Amino acid sequence: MSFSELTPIHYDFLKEVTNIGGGNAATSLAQLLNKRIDMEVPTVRLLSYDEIFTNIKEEESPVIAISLKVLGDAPGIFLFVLEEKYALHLAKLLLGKEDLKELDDMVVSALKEVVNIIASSYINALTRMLNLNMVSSVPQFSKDMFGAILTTAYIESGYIDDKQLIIENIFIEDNKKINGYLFFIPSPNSLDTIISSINI
Amino acid sequence: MKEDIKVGIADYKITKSPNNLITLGLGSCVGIAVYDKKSEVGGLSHIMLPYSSQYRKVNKVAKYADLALPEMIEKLVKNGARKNRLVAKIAGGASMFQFSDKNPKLNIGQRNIEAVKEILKDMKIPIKAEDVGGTLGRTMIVDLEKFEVSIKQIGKGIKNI
Repeated sequence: MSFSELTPIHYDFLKEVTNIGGGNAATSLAQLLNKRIDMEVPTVRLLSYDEIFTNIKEEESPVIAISLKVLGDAPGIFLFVLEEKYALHLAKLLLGKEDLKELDDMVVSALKEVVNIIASSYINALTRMLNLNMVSSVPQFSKDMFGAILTTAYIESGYIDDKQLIIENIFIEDNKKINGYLFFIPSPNSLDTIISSINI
Repeated sequence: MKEDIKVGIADYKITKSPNNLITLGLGSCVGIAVYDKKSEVGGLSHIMLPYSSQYRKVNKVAKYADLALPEMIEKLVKNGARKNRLVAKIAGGASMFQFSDKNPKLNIGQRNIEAVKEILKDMKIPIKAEDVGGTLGRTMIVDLEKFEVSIKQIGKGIKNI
């Protein structure tokens, strides 16, 4: 299915899926960090790259991105994107260390682990709700430009149209010391699979 | 006055020296700068995909290397460039994700690089410099005055090619 074929009912359904998946992920994150985590109302929007770089983040912004591939009935990609200072704060909370200054191996593996947990709880919610089988791959860490990461994630997923479906959850830690974006990019076939499960 | 002209994804722009042409955050995409020193006319293309024939629905010329480059070069010639004086510098085509199940044949960055090189060769436009492949994204700034291309990468600073 191409994004332009989506109807308002499809959007409502995808928003509901994103709300439940993201809500589950936020709960896991809160339990893991023992902090209150707020989730903004999830958005499911069709945006051009220009709009993405104006509304979400500029294409050159340096970000930490942890990506996972979803395998199974509805394959796709999860991208967890945050600024380096937030990534360091997240690692501090996880590791219980105050003096973290750089993204060393320990910090990177802590971040991968937390994203693994976030993505797994998101996927678990989708699996239950949609009655589909999905598992996630080992997470990958990158520190790069937001634009390079996001465009490549969509292009490699097979999306070559001018507008992209942005399925986004924003998580905010209580003291606003962490602000993370979670993008879910279902592959074109998966979008069909997810949409068709409405009728079940 | 020197102006910075920004080229978005799946687009190309042409201008004259001393202006700069800039494209930000190239991942698997490839940026192709083409210049004629004598007429001082240059262009920058930011392609997303290699060959349009491999896709069912072709809706934007500037997205595909095989359509964007001939069209941009035709415009350069219309604006005073001579085809046999054109030279190119290219950057991008990174492999941003290394998932273990990845099929190397589907590496879009690599396919973009190969297509761009082949198309430029067919059009007899020599590649003077390149910074391609790897796993990091790039920003490309083309200074038409010297036809110098600066490449920015996160954690690697700036280099000129």
